Amino acid sequence: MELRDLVERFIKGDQKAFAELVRRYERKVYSIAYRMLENHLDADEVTQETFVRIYEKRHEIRDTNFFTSLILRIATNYAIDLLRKKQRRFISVDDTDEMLPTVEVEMAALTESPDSALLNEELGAIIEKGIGLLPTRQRVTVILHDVEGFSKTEVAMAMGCPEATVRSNLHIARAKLKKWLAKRLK
Amino acid sequence: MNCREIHFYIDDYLSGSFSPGLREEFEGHLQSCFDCRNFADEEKNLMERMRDRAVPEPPPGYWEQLETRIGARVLADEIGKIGAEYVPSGSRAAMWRILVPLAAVLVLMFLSFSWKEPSGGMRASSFSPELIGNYSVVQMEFRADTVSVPEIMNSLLLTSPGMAGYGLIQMERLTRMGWEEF
Repeated sequence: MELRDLVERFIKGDQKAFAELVRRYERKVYSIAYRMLENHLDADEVTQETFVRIYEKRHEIRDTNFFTSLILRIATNYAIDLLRKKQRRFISVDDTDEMLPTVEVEMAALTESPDSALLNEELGAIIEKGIGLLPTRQRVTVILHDVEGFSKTEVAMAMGCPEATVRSNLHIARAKLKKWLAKRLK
Repeated sequence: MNCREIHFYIDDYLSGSFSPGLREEFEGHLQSCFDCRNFADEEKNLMERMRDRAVPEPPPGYWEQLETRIGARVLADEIGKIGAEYVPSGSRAAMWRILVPLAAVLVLMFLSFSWKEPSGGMRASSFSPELIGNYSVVQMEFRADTVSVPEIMNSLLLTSPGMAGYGLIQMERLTRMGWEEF
């Protein structure tokens, strides 16, 4: 069934439509939450709470796009709240050295080596760690757009900010990540 | 297109959302500018690697359990809402706090004026205080021993109209239990 039909039926109170929407979005929500909180228990809490809240807010949903952005907004806000509650220390990646000239060359050299799978894994882990060190809003923007593949419009709606802010956050975050990566690869 | 625009539109280029004309213009600049070409490659590499990272799979059976838990939570909320319709809260409660005593007062007034005392009189002392419970005003009136039921009702209206609803219930209860005796 089309997403639009499902959302319309869900707004009217159809429980089966809601169950189907949960099945369609649960992995995405869990994935976002896991990337933000980096553990299963918190990701589970965010996922469950997101769907309970979306059910409570079903009368506020206007259309399919709004439904998607509302899910993202609820999930990310709840995850941010959890992060703040835990009072995790964020080590800013701003204090890295000057941007090194060619991260790309270093990355290419790593992926061409005989142990490329292992090195790729290490590279991925370094990037992941770098994402975890970004300031919260940049981190959320990168996770939603670059990692999970949501559009800038969807991310902007989810975060309640203009698209230009999303674009700006992405540029800053990626520049920091490249610096971080270059420093670690050196 | 200049270097600044390349940096600004790099996402649109990489996501393929450019029109053919713009794409050609973008790639034309990349061919002629080493820095921008390098920048575009870095961005592409970084984004590809970020998307490659999969989240660890949760424990077996997790998704089914999650769906069950969400269903149970939603059902519990629905039941809670149904309950809330019978247990007023917030502004609804405030409305009920005014309307119920008011209605009770009106009913008491009606009963009071339409009451006809049975022959031989009905004495308040005929009612056992235990039947009345903790309602002190009613208890006090009943213990006076000389007060008739209409007088008790009038007294209730005057002394504690806010509690008149409760008084009415108690009065009905007493009437139901003791009426045959009078």
